[in-house]
Amino acid sequence: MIDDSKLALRATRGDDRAFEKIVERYERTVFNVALRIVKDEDDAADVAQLVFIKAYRKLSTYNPQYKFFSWLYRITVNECINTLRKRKREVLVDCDFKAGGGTAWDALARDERGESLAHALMGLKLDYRIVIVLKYFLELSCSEISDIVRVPEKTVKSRLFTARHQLRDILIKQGYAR
Amino acid sequence: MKNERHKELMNGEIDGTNSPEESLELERILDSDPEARSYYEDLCRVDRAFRDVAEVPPPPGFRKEVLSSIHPGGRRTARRDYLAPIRNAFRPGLAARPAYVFAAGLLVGLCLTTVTALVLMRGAPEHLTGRPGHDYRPYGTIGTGERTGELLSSQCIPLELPEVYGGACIEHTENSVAVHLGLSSPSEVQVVFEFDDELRFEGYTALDEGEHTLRVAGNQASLTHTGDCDYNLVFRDNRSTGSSFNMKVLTSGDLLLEKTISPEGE
Repeated sequence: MIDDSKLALRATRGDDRAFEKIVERYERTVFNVALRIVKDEDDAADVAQLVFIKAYRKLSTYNPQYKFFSWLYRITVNECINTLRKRKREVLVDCDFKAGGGTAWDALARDERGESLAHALMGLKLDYRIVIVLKYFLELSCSEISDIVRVPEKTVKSRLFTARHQLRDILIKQGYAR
Repeated sequence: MKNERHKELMNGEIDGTNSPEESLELERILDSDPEARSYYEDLCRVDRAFRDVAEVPPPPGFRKEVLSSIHPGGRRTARRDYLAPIRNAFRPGLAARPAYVFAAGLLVGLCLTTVTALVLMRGAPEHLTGRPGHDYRPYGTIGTGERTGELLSSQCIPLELPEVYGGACIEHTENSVAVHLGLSSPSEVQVVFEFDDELRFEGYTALDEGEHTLRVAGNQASLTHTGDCDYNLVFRDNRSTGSSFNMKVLTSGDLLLEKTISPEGE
């Protein structure tokens, strides 16, 4: 598999096929990160599209000394923030949401589309939501998240820490009693 | 769960960053405190639930749409040779080939002389960084081509600061300074340009819809930005050898970077 930074370099030299490969490689993750942060599928598709357009335009500013995905995900996170600011209102957690049959935690585990988790995620402050999304949906380490959100690793750990505890409280409030 | 140490150990265990001693310490806590155990089990369930969430595929046709917005005319492939039929019509026979070659050389020479003369009459054209077709649109009279000036120097300063990422490319010409600023920052960042009386702020353009404000007062231009956006700023320069100016980057009033930018570069 061709290295991301090599593909990026080829794309800056005008090889459009190389950029196509980058889109192919990252479309799914970029879309999913956007979806978990902005929640709405249409908004997420718009964000993902903008991310690739911006990445293409800014390829010359990418420093190959750093990981390409960090650079791309940084654009993704910032674009999500822009979208949420434009939207001006956060989607509120639906407090009436109730789990289906069986134990609540079983329902949570069965919820493949992660709808219930998405509700809980939207109850988090944006800073916390971003670290949770990067941690769980991209499986990044705290150091990689720190590169993306440009805050010290210690701050990432502390945000992750608070976010998990808040998620637990939100999920219990939503009906996932122990 | 009030005990901070307990929480720290629980998170460390979930992330797999606890040392063997820390894992043992947590084990002892969980064995002796049922409330802590129940809390830890909740956190593990949250962790598992998030790990199990399936990915959602992007909408159908997403990639095609992205690529067509990047290359509206379609992907770059070998161009169709529209001139081929005309060339074929004039394709010389072997005997006439030297004459055709001589005539073509004469024509090319004439064209080159004309172009060179035109360039010299107008002054060297501005050459600003950025690749064609990549939305690099210099602002102001140098952007519109009303004003030209010889390029004196070009330099790029990477901005890799806490919470701010991007770069500033500065081009000094004999009568202007063009700054191409790319900023990516989740929180508010301020970029301040301080200059002397020989430099005058002419204008700017934001290439994206990021949140920003630009204030120009006296010898200072201050851009406040959040998110992800590129900007082009243009200053008119009365010094034909190029003027130096100061650039500062701040977040929440904290100075992250201060640089004097001169036409000679660093």
